[in-house]
Amino acid sequence: MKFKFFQRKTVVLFFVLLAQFALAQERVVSGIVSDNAGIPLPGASVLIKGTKTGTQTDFDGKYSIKASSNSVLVFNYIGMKTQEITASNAVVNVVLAGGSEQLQEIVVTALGVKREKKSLGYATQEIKGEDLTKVNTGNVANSISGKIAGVQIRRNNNIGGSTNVIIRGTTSLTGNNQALWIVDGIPLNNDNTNSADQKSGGNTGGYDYGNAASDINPDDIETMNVLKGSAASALYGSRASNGVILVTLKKGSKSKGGLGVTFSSGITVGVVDKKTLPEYQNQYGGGYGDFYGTVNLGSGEHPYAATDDASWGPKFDPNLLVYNWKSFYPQLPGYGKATPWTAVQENPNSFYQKSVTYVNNVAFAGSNENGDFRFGYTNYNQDQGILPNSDNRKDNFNFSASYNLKPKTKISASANYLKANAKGMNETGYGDGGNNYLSSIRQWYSTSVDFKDLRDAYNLTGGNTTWNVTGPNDLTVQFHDNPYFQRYNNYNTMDRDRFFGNVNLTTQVNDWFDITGKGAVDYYHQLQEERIAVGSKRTPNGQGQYSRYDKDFREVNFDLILSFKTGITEGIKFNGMIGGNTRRSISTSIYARTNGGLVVPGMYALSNSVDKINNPTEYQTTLGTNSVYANASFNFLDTYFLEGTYRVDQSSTLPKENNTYTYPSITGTYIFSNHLKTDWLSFGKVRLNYAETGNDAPFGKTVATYSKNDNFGPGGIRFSTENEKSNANLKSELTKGFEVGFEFKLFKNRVGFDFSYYKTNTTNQILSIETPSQTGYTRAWINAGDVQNKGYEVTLNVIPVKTANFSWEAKINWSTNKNEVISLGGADRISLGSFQGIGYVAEVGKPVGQFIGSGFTYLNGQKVIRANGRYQQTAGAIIGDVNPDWIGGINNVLTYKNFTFNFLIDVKKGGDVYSLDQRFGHTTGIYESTVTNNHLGHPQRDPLADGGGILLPGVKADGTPNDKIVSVEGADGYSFYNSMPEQQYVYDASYVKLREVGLSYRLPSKFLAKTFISNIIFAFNGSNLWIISKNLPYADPEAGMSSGNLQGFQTGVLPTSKEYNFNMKVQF
Amino acid sequence: MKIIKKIFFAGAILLSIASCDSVDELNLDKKAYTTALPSALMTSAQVNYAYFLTNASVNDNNFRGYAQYWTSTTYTDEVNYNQERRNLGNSHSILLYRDVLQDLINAQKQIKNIEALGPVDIAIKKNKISILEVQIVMVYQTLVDLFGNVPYTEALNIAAYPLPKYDDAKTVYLDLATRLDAAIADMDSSNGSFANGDLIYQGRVASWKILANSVKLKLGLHLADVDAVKAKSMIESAYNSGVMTNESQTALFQYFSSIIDMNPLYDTLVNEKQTVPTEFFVNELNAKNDPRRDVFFNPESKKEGNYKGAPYAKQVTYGDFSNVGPRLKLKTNPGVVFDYTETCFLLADAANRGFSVGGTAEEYYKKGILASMNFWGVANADAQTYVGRADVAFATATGTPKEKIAYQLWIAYYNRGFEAWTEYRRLDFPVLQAPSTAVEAADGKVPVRNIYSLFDKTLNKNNYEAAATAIGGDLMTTKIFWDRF
Repeated sequence: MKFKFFQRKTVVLFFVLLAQFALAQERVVSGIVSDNAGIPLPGASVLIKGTKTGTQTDFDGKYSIKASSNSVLVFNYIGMKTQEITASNAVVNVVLAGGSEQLQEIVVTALGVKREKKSLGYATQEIKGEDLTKVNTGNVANSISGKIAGVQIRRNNNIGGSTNVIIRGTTSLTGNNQALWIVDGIPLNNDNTNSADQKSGGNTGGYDYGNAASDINPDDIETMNVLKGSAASALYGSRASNGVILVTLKKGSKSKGGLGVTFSSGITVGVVDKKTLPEYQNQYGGGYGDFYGTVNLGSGEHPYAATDDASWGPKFDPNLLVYNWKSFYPQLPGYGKATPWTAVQENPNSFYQKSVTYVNNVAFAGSNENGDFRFGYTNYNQDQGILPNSDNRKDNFNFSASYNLKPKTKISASANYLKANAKGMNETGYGDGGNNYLSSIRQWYSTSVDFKDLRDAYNLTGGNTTWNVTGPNDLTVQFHDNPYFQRYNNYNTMDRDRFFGNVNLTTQVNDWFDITGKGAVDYYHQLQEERIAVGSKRTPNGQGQYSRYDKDFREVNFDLILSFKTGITEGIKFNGMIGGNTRRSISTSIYARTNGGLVVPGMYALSNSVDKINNPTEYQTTLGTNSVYANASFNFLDTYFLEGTYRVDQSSTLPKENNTYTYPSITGTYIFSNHLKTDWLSFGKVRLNYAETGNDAPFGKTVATYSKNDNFGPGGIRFSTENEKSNANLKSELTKGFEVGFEFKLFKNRVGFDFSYYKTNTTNQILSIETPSQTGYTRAWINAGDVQNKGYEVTLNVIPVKTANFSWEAKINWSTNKNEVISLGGADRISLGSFQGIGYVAEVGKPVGQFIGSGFTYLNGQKVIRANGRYQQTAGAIIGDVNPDWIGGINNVLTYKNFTFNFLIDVKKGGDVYSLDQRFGHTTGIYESTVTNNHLGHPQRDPLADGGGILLPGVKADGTPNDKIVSVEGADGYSFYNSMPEQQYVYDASYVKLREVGLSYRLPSKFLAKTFISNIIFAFNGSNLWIISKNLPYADPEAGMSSGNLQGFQTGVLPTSKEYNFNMKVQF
Repeated sequence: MKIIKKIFFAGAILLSIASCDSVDELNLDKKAYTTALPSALMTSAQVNYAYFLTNASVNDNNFRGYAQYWTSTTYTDEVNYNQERRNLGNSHSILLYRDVLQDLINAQKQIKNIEALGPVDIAIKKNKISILEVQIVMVYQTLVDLFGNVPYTEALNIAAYPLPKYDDAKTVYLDLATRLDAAIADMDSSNGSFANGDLIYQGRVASWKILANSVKLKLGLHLADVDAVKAKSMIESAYNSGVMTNESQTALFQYFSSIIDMNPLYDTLVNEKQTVPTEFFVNELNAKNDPRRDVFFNPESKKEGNYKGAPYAKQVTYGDFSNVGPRLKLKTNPGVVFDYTETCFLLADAANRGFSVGGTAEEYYKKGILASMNFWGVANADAQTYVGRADVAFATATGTPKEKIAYQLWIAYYNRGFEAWTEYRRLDFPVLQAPSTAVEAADGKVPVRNIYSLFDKTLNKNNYEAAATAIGGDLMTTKIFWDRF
């Protein structure tokens, strides 16, 4: 420290001397801008008064600028009082004061209104854009994980796939529960196009095409603010009932004077996390038991290896010669050759490869007194995904500008264009008939098949030379294609073009009255093409198929807002607003596919259909709301704040007589620190709110319709009555909720604490319930039910260390939500979906999202074992609950000089996942756990007589310990593991993850002083580097099918990628 | 000020858009139909009923397994009588109530609502309603034969009965008989009916009338063990009114070659190779040198020169056994709704019980076998050789007359799994052994009933429990009311 002091003094001395000689001449003036707590303010602007010359402070609050000694420096930082100081000294250190001695945090609230955070009567939490861009995972929602209390993020791991975002729990049983994304005032459609079968991991499966929030480019984001409760989002109406994520994009107005250019370039390498891969056993080969027989394929009579998709075959024995699948194909070099019966060199885990992603970004921004502009271009290019033949590319253009027409009128507009292309996404689902190859290798596989052989066979023949044929003399494929053939030939593509933008016109009529007109549009076209090659088992007789799905979506919003602000009397201020919104959206789609096969192999066009194509499936969804809203807020002495909002929505999806509904909200805030002057309390606030929100019905549920199927034979026109009874008397849903919260800032803002408690009840739910099929319908739409959510959210920001060179800031968030179904309108339970035999239900008295299936039977807490040595099962038992107990995150930022190191630990505690991968992987004997030693220390697969078999822990029906050892040899192992209740394969989905790690280095400004470059930052970042703890074997507990209401199910899931990123950012 | 004026102007437009642009019509789905052709509703119902009878998907029809014609090589849950795992009661219930009856009844309602002008139109309207009625009766009989008591009086009326009660099976049967009589009386063969949409008889009223009488014959015969008086009157009046007398009257359901209109067996037998004939069935046919074997089974799959069936309900390798014949693997092979062969055997049974049906049991027995041979394309000479065998001829074959009829009926009903299983339950022959691996709920026996949908337990609990109690337990071992022996 002494040395430092000396240095500084020397510098000061030097400048003083210099000033003597160079008075009134331009020279470098430098210093540090900090707040009154001594914390440096990065990004504060420093401008020479009367000129356009200026600069910004760096991360350490330091600046340097050329100025003459008589020029005046203007220091400005958002939310703080501007200060002007004459640059008579070469070192000008400035302490900026807050508006009322506090740091005035400004946040963007509903409808884009900027408000002082202290005045808000509800919880909001903000993330800065730079915290979202560290590793671009292709979906910005992924970057929220662990950073915001009360927001539950579930990445599904699928290539280009969707991310589930739930704020404060599930409110609607069958409706949408996803948060609403609003980008610069543009409500962004966040649907996914995944089929119901895909979402439930069904037989047909399909691809997870992602949700559209992934179109938001993280590099363009200035801030992201999460409005959690009803009171925060009430002004947005029914569509915001699940909370709002408000995204504010970067604007040119940030750059003070001149033109700023930012360029960044990065590469991310993804490596499969071994903890999320299966461990295959390597002691026994394929089949359901012993060799099925012998055959002579050219090198003598030898047993032939079973080609079945299970691994209960004979124990490997290098002295035994066996005809394996590759000896069945005349076109393979191994044809007719018997090979030693040994474990494979490469198991299916060799299927995965490194992913490589490049992200390049350039942005230009500028401003002057007449306006500002910003242009950004980002290219996200995942050249190579973790599966062979996959890639994902996005080109993102952002342009925004504003212009001051006259001093009192401002026009601004923004336009965003995105072009996204993906190829070879992973198939999801159970994959009956090998539709999803990942299900094949996690569930139905033969451990005597070497992946190297499969790769070589495909490379040599280019055809579907697969292991899973009918037998040595019948090469008809049973279920599973050669995985390489499948990847390179049965691939899908997705192309999305999206435009979203807005126009705003604001005029200040007088000093208390503004008028704003806004128009916003969101438009996209998405094309999904799926190919099944001729020769693949995925279509009957390997005839091949091509399908395409085209979707167009357009939403237009117009708002007109009149806003008022005035001081009523001394100490009482009023802000008010009255506005109207009209929203129209139309979504159309068409799906068509070839029929009966492809005429010309490899040609993927509808015209290449062997038979005439079936009627394409068309959908058209039109939605409209007309709304009026108003808001009034009062500020008493900057200490008491009272705000009320009111909105009336008229929705097209409800019957005419019930289509208008209202939402009131009221919030109150008291800043008690204004009355409680202590040294340690910098700021203290209590807030309280109550709000009601409504929700309308899904499209088209009020009108009875018939479906028209394809003609059966010549002229066989078919109509059928709807399966789901429509309801012409639906009413809007109603959510009532209150929230109470406290905020503290202690020890000169070194500690910040925010606590919320909320409780909401969503009643009169618009539900599609199951009905007995004897009514002629299997579902019906009704209004019923009451779902309650209550929970706590805590955020804690601590700066334990803060010195000139080193600082450590920790941001901790923790939240718990207790969801409970209070009523289901008379029913005890309703089904929300099913996963391959497991029911997914809402049951009265329990949280939404219980798994129903066969469970263990317990006697005095012990599992009951039947006389045959297998578990006694209880059918239709509750065997799991998808809801976590709590979620939390700890983000640490450590800064030393120009180095910044941060790491984020993301925790989810509790919540269950059902793994079909585990169920069938055990049933088919492919996993390591099916060859371990038993309680006697003998291999479990040994015959009973030799001490093999398994003794299940538990008691007999009479309560005495189980003593029946069960054989797991060969096919009996199949039946043994298959006899397990489904509960056996329900796992606790808790995890602790090292979600993000980053190390960045900012080149000291002295190196750049003589260049036109103002800033260079190098950064190494990692995402998902370490799953510190989990209970689910062989997979990531987060992995799943899709975003949406059905969660907690795994079949054929992708492993997780650890992503390593290097990034360089240059500012000019 | 100019700009302000413009803004107000724009604002005025905006507000007028918001207030005048109504949202009322947006919820009408422009791509969905709010009306339907009645004949097309019937078409859909016929497709689905034919699917129920024809398919061999493990989810929808395991009756060929119950009758022990076929078994599954790999996945043996269903042939081991696991009715719970795939919730088979639910598949049947959804298919027959929602996808068949609902559309038949809606078609009937719509036709009733169309005013007919003039005697011809009135006759055509009556014919249409009656043809739908015959089909409704057939489907309800199927439901009773599957489950026993079923929702009937309160079924298919969700507005009035969201939770329909179950009606007594015999009461339903008797009401079906009444409805059938009324429908037969209302059919006028001199007038037309459906101009299109009837995929079974193309609207030929005379054919529908013959089918209606044949169905009445079956309905009556099912009552024979529990109500001989009613059975006698139904059977004899049906016979006198005219049941099927030749193959051309068979109610066939034609399939085509595309994926949406092909025979559903194609999926099971060609796309998935897991279904093979049973050892028991193949051996029975081998023993009598049955000429139908070359159609029933695939001649190319003979093992060492002979057909070889697989042990029932055991995991085996497909290729080790003979498989099903090529005719059944054809996409265009028609399904059978009701056939002449069946009529002959029903008449043989009726005659054997002493009912007056214009011939003896022996005559109808022989006619039935020959009808089956004819249906399967066996050369007449081979067919005659077969019926001439001492172990086939009615006079010399072993067993009681009822057993002889039941045994030959069983062979002739090949590929008609549901009817074969039903007649096995009614006639109790041949003796079929349940596999040792059968689920516990089967109690070591071939099931004689399908359990209700597992959803009925939760969705319609009180009515379900009342029904289960009334029939003697919701079990696969509970006999249907007509199954006395």
